[in-house]
Amino acid sequence: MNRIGQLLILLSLLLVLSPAALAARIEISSPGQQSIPLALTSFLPAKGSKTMPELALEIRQVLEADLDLSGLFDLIDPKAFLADARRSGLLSSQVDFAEWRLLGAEALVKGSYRVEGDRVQVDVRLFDTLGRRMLTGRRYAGKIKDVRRIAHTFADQVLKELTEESGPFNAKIAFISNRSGRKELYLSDVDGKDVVRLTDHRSIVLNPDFSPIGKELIYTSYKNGEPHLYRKEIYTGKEARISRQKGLNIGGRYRFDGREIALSLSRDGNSELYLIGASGSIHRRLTNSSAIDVDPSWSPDGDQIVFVSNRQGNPHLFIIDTAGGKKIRRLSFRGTYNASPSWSPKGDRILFSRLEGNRFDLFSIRPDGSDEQRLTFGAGSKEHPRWSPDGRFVTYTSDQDGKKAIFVMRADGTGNRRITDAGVDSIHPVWSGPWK
Amino acid sequence: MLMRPNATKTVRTPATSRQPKLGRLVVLSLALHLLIFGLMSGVILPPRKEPPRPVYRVNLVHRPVKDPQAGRPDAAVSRKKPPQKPKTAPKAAIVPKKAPVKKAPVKKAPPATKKAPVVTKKAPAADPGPSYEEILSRIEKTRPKEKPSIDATQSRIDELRNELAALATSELAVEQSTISPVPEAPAGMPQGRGTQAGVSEELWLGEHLKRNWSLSRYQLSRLDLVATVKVVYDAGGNLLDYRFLTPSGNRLFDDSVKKAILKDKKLPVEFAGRMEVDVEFNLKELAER
Amino acid sequence: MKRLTLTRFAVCAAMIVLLASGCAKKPVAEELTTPATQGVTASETTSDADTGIVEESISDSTIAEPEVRGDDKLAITGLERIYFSFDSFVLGPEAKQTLENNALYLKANSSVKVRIEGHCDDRGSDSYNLALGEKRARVAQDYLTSLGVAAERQSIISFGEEMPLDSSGTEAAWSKNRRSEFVAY
Repeated sequence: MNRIGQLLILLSLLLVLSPAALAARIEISSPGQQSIPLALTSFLPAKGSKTMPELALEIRQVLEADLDLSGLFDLIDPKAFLADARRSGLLSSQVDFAEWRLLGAEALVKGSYRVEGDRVQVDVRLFDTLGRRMLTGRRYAGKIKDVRRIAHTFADQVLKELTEESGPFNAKIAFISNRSGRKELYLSDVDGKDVVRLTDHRSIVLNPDFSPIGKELIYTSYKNGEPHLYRKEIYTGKEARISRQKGLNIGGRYRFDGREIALSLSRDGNSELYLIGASGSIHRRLTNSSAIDVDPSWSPDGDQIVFVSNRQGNPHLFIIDTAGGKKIRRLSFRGTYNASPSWSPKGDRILFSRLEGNRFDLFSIRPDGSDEQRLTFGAGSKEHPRWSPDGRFVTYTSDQDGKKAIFVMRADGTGNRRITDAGVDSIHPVWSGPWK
Repeated sequence: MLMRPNATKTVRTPATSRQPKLGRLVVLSLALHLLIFGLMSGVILPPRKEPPRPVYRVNLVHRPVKDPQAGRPDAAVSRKKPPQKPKTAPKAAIVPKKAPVKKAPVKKAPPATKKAPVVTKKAPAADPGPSYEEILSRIEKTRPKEKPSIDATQSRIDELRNELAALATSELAVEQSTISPVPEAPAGMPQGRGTQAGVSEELWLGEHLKRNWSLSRYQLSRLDLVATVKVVYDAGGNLLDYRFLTPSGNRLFDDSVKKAILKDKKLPVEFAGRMEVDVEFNLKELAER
Repeated sequence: MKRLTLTRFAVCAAMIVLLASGCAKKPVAEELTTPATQGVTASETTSDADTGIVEESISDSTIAEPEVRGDDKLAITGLERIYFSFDSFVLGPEAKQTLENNALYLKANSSVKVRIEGHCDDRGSDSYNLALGEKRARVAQDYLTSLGVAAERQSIISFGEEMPLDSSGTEAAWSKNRRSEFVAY
């Protein structure tokens, strides 16, 4: 009797306590549609404007490439577009949202341009077809030759609207190429277009890094016979030699505030990590071993540096505190050759390349050494990964199509695409911050 | 691996008086190792085959009902309502050859009118997609003529079923689309206890909301988000109310959930009565990848 | 009894085979961690040097003999380059032999100064390769110094992977590029 009574109490308690017994409950553990169906229309000439189909096409192509790389969208085939794609009205009251919903589009980009002389004004809007409203709209005015930048800027805006963080597309990629016969420093858009040569050293230029403040780059050059570290102001062209210690002055990387540079010097007869000021004065020596210590990369808070060392045999990744204390922690344990680490701007992951067979592939790992992931597969050697400043994309080199060329991809290893000519070597890419 | 070199060494030592015992031991050991190897590798005993675990997929082809019967969700739904004609209907459905013949004529009339409102995202004008009739005829072709050879046609059937489901969610169409690899099994739900053929209304609604929920992993910087929403529909499938019980706190995530609910304010089904369900939206399947 | 010995023999044989195969594995594993083609490299090096013939013929008379090598400076000075294994700056026996010959030449020509350049193949981090190239130059410098060539007559520089002899990207090309060069001036 007693036991039965207890059971009854327990049962009634259970009934009272479990809300599931009262309201039905279901779980949906992933979206049925994991990319946003987007209709990207061709831009139309505004009323009274000259018609320039090639201009409209260029804007569309830039936008399409950026938005495709973002991975957010499922682009709807323009061949399916109906009447509204040919109407120029940009107000949400003028857009036939039902028509776009019929095509499955949930997001819609429409735009127009007005050409006057060598100037162009571009209006472009992103709509939510379900909510029948404009999510974001922009008007850009500039020279006709600036339309690519205008398109990149709007792509950044679309990402800001749909991910709450601006995209990294209106930016530059600096890299080294020997297309002139010598290794010189170049600058291009993030899609590899608009290439400009920045140096004419006619020797060897290597390993650039963008200053986090101002439009400046540091790099190593053999301009004066020895590998010294230089800084260049991109627009004035002004160049200064900032570190010319005996031996190597290589792998310079700015701290987040631009006030300090980590690099390798071999003034002691062996490569060691140093911190120097922006003008080249030595602040501190970080490492002290007879081994090779190179390729520093700062954590975003500037407290730690990941680097490559063969102090325990093969080249592996190690992390050192920049505040001193000299505590050095080994990060990588697999493989026989781990190189070129790059700490993510959000601090959560470190990219690097590892020798697999006789080719390198890209990997990422958490700074605590957990959750190692391989990002690239297939033919070719992939090296020198660097993050986009928002941490969602990666630029790197691969020789999969011939010579070493610059590639970009998403941080999860998908969406790879080559952005420089595969017929000429291009190496050491680095992604700039927003190019205002 | 460490043991063996040691063993050889002792075998080769000159202490021959103890050899027979040792030799026998080694032989025994070798035999046992071989036996174990044989057992493990399946040379001696064929490896045990685990029957594939049944995977139940709820789809919109089945009519949502309040009180689903037990059975397989992928089983044939008999075209005539089971409660009304329990004796004749099953037999008709069992004969696989006849079924297609019967089906064809019934279908032709309704779809044309029903199609338009139903076309959702998968049938853009780029590729208008096969018409309802085309799909059906393709299904007929893939159907096993004699015995249903499940393996060969299953995947194709699944594909077609998905297309079909996208095209025809109207109740009439639902009733008729009976593409089943297991015609004899009762249609129902694995955990069903009731008497009606079809899926439970809650599961149907869950599947419908999932389809309407679009969100890219690249929109989020984390995948451990959860939002629970109470949704209320009337018997006619009209959305009466929805309320976030626990929002995720992430604007993009919560907006996408809201959109998924608001995408269809009138569901293409009727429920047995007022529907009130707590729906938990999370990203577990994305995080697993 | 006979059968027993027979089985014992069989078991012994099996064990020996196992042992032997176990042993054979080790070098394979080492090959994976150390450069996969150390042997290949060495043979290629000699065959490469054969065209110059300098290597063996070095004696007092060598100086007078301007060689027919493509590389002008090397030919005139009689200084030979040395080669290294992948990710290594260890002097092999052949490299040491070459360095000894180079030392003889430098001692015979006391007015000549030499710049030692360290080079690498183009795989891996360029910074690491610059540091490695420096090590390759330095190890050669140290050896020459130990052989009696004054340190003041030598300078070192690393070019890392930047100046390959052969940029075809093959295993043979890589082994050709992992080297130290001696430039007299």
